[in-house]
Amino acid sequence: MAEATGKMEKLVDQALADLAREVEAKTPRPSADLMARVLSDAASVAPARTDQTMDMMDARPRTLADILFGWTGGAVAALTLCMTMGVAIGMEISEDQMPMMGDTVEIAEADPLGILPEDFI
Amino acid sequence: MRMTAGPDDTGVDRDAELLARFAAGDQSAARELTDTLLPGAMRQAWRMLSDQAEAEDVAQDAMMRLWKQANDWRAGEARVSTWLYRVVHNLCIDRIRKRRPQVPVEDAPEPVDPDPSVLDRMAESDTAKAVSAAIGQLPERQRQALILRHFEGYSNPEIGDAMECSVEAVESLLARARRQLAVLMEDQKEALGYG
Repeated sequence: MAEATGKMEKLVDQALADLAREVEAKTPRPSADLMARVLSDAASVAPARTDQTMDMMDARPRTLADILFGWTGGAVAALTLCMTMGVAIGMEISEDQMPMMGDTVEIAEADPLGILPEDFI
Repeated sequence: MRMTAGPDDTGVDRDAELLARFAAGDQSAARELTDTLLPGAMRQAWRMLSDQAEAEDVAQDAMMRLWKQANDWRAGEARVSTWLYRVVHNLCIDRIRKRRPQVPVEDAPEPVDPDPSVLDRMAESDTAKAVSAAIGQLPERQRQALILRHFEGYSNPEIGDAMECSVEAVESLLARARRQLAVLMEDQKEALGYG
């Protein structure tokens, strides 16, 4: 009985191998046109994916590097530069070229309450 | 006959690596994936639909879904080849249902996979014809496991992945399928030279 079962299993294995070989030989392969279409689809997906990737990058939380080297950082750098230049220019200008900083003639003594009538208080 | 580059001895899914490269913008990875996966997808669709033009449409549709899935693919969760197998299977089932006359869903029989008549048509030798006829009489799950094992070259874990069941369940299905085939072919053994 066991021998008979073993023989039948061998028959089944042999039959499956025969059928698999015959099916493989007759199964159509993908045509060159199909291969081209599939690769074209892959290429068409890639650019859309790149745009999506860019959107995802814009949505990322900004890091210190983004802040330092982003547009804000550029504006800060420009302001700093202007201030530095202003200080440097100011230090280079002599006092006699700047009337406001030189000897002045006192025109009037400042008396904030002088304009008020004497009997106001 | 293997559908895929598949996992190597270390269990690494080569197809998943290629898919990750494709997601990173490497078009050569798309070509490699197409070379390894498209023949199997085409073969599976043709077996289920018996029509080359329809099989090509399904195979192209399935590969397009793979390209779109590339960015979201999480390695380790499933094998690329078995994921693609399920996609092709479902696409073919949809087409088979559309071919049939409109019947209420509760009355519609469950579509079979694959169409046994395809195997019958391709069998030439007496032995192959006998086993093809016997395969057509197997329960669907046993037939599916058998086809994946002997016609697609899937390993038991890959079959489990494709059929969404455990490896033990796959081994049980295959064992029962072989026993059932032996019973069905018993009366033909003398004609086949095994008397």
